[in-house]
Amino acid sequence: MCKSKLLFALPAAANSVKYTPSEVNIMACEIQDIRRALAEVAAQPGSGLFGWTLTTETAASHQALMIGGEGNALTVFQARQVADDRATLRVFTRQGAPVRQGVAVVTLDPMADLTAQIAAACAASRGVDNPPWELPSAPPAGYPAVTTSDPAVAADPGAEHARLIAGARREAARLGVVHINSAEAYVNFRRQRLESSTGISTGRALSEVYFELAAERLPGPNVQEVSPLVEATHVDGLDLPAFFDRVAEEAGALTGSELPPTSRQATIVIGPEAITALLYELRGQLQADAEYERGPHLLPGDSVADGPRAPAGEALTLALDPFLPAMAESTPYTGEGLPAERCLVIEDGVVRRQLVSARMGQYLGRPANGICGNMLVSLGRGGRAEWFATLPDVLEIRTFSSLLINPRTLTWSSEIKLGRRHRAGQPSVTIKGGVVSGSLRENLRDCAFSNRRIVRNDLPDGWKPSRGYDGPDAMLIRSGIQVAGA
Amino acid sequence: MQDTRLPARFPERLQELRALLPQLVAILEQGRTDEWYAFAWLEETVTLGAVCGRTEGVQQDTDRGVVLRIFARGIQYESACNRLDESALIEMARALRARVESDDSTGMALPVYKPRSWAEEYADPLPPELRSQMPASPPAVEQPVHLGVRCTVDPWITTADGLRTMAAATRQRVLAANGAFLQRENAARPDAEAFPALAEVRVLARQTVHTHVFVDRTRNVSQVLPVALLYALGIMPGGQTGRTLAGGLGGLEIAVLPDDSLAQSAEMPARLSRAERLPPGAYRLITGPDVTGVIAHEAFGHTQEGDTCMCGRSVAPGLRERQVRVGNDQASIVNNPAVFSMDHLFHGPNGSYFFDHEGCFARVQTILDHGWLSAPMTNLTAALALGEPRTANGKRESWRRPLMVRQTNTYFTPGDATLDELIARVPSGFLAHWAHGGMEDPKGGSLTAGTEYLEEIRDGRLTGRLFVGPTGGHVELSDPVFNMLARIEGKTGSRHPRGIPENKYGGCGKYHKESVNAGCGGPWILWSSVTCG
Repeated sequence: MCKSKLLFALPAAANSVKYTPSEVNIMACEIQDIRRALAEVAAQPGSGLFGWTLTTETAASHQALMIGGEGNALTVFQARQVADDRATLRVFTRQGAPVRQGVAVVTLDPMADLTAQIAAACAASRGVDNPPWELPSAPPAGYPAVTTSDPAVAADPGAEHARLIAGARREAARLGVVHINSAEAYVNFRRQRLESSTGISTGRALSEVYFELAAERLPGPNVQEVSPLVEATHVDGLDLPAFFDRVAEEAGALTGSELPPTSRQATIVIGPEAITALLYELRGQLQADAEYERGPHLLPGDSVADGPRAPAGEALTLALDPFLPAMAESTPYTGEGLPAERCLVIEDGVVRRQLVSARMGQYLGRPANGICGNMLVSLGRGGRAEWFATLPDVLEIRTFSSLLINPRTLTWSSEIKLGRRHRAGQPSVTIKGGVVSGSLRENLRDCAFSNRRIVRNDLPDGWKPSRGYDGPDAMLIRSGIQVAGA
Repeated sequence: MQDTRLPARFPERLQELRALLPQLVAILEQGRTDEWYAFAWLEETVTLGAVCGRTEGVQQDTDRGVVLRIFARGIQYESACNRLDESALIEMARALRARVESDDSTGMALPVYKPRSWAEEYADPLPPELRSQMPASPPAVEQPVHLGVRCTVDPWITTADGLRTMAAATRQRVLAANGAFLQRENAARPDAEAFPALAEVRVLARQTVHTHVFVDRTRNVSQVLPVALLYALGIMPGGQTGRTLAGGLGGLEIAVLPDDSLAQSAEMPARLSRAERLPPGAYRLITGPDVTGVIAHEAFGHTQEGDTCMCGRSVAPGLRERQVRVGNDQASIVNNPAVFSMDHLFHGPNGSYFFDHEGCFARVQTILDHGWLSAPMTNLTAALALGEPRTANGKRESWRRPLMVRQTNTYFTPGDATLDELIARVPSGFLAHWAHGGMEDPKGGSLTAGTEYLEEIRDGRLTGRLFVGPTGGHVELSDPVFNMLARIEGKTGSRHPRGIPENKYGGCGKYHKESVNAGCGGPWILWSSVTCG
């Protein structure tokens, strides 16, 4: 019969993370098997094994696909439960003269011999050609205490999933002005552990809650719908009443639409989803990796705008904070195992700090840091109502069809899925279609941020990384925007 | 000429696990087959990869999982895990059955499902590649049937180190081609106008082998789908990039980048750094297979996904019912999971398979026929809900994710023009060769597809001038679907005996997530007008 066994579940919780008792797992012996195999390979002549890191994860997921019916009853037509254990080993080898360093990442196969897998990974790594670097060691002071997950999801993700669906059904039933076409609800709980040959031993628990809805206005039939989603680390963080209100409001606005006017210099307002995505890519240029790869990058002292700021423009101030409780990028440690650090990285539009990993720090000859975490953006002075009332012609982009941002040039473009055109003294109209494009560093020459705060999370999937955002709910952009439309 | 390539082998290590699956299906549905339908799905994905740039690394990833399903009372109940020892799987099967028996929920009002027998499958014509690998007569229920993609290079002997060598050599070729380009182009330029060298070249060489086993009360089938990719990205100091790639369904023999293809990575980034900016507006446009494929995929691909139709999220059912024509005579689109060769190539794209993730065999389906909508693509739930035939479009990102109706390879049927003829018909316009994403709007009927840049056409000739988007990025193409499909003026032909145009390596998300392989291609198409910005 199959020789696999229950491998890779997690050992007892790390000291720095607030686990609930149910998370404590007894399968530490499996980690010991991997350690033993690593020791065997290290003892083999010529293995070159210089160091390793091991990331283990045990995850549970509850998933439901639903269809809307009479009275917005949500009927589940696909109900899934998933259990997922995995162990990812990164082996580092050193070889040659002058010394070069290799790295191979292997997801360990529980049906195959551990020692053979690790030996094969080392063999592949020995052909890899990088300048050598030292792996970070365990921090003497340990890791900061961070709440990275929701205790209720940790205790019983299935029960929280049921509570999510019940809550969604309640909210759906109260909406009289829209018809719900479909919905999806997911609750995931993941326990991760990071160990290394240099003595790092830590872990964290992550909770993820996802809800997606598609709806159209009543009475039908319609040829337009809205399909927003909301993500959080706990069910109440979704704020379903507010989410459903937004759905009703946006679906109700779908009463016929216009194309935007073609413009070589448009003024637009974007919402927090787009701000999050744009600033996340900007932050990528603060990574020392971008400098090492010789592409576009930003260094301390650089302006984030690519020219002088307009007199009426507001400057971006951005901090990264990994210690905010239970947000998408809350963590006690970086991917390398450095202790996470909170830091003001951009102040008044000027870069203050670079994000330097242990490896890049050694390559570039500068100190490493653990700066990471959720994006905190300072609030501005104005707001949507004021902008729409005072500016002559503003396109409010509520939803982009597919906002694609080039991480190197920081240019972006998308069709407008749903928007409103506001002209002072005239009724606003719904906008759909047309293409808006921009260049972020040009945009930052003349922009303003709202004075209303919003907190939001993007959970990781195949299309986007984890992103936590705490900042203005809107951004006005008056520079570097062009629109193709009517 | 006889094809001497051998179908990819079923891996020996999965034999014992495969043998367990019928037992699991029996646990799930025994005694309830009049009301329930169950299946077991085993999936293994072995990925080997190497990235070479200023930093390098290799990857060896084995991901394996089992999905068990019971369809009862209009709900697809599933449990999935990667704890694959016999006792854990039997326990999961028993727990799933207990969960279904104890659940008092009612799902959609769907009829009981009775799966097709082998005899019924044989009576319904199958694509040649499937039929050629199946037994001559319908096999017994318990007889394992294996289907594998034909390869020249055995995918099971590939190593991560071999891929690293391939990636490193390709990187050196791109760097050398960039050096030759700079020497050639900068010789006559003053220093101030000289092109700088590429800042970085990153090359990915990757092979992914998907092995699937599907077992229900009627069949025990497996497939091995190797997917190879060689991808080179040239990057300028200013961030402009150019990419070239080779790959699709097959062994490493298809991951080959000829010298003349390297210019896209070695020269185009520099050229794009000097490209002009396109004024936003509507233009006459020719799209290459890459971009054409995205348009087909987004236009009436997503709109014809049965679950989207089932949920009232697509404009297509109403149009079909009212017999509204949505495109001109050249607007024909098919979805074809059984593409194992195309145009002049002996391999298929990465969106192909022999059967979908619910065990439905691949067959070509027309979803738009000369502007008239046909039946939608379906999975089991959508077929039952809509009363439409099942098609092989039940697909999931992995065993971890839900199953939805997904496209495989969606493409416009070919025409009869040559590319030169199409270009000659353009007094003023552009050619879009390389895709840059896209997004559907099945309810609203709008469409957006990106392209990296545009090449200018004047008086029926390519001028050599390049244009990027209005603010220096990619160019987004967007219009209502019906407008676009009414504006097809010409299409190039295909050299394939069954008229299958080239489909490129591609991927697809649905709604907000759920990434899957999807081939992307078609002929070159001339459009009378497309909004570009």
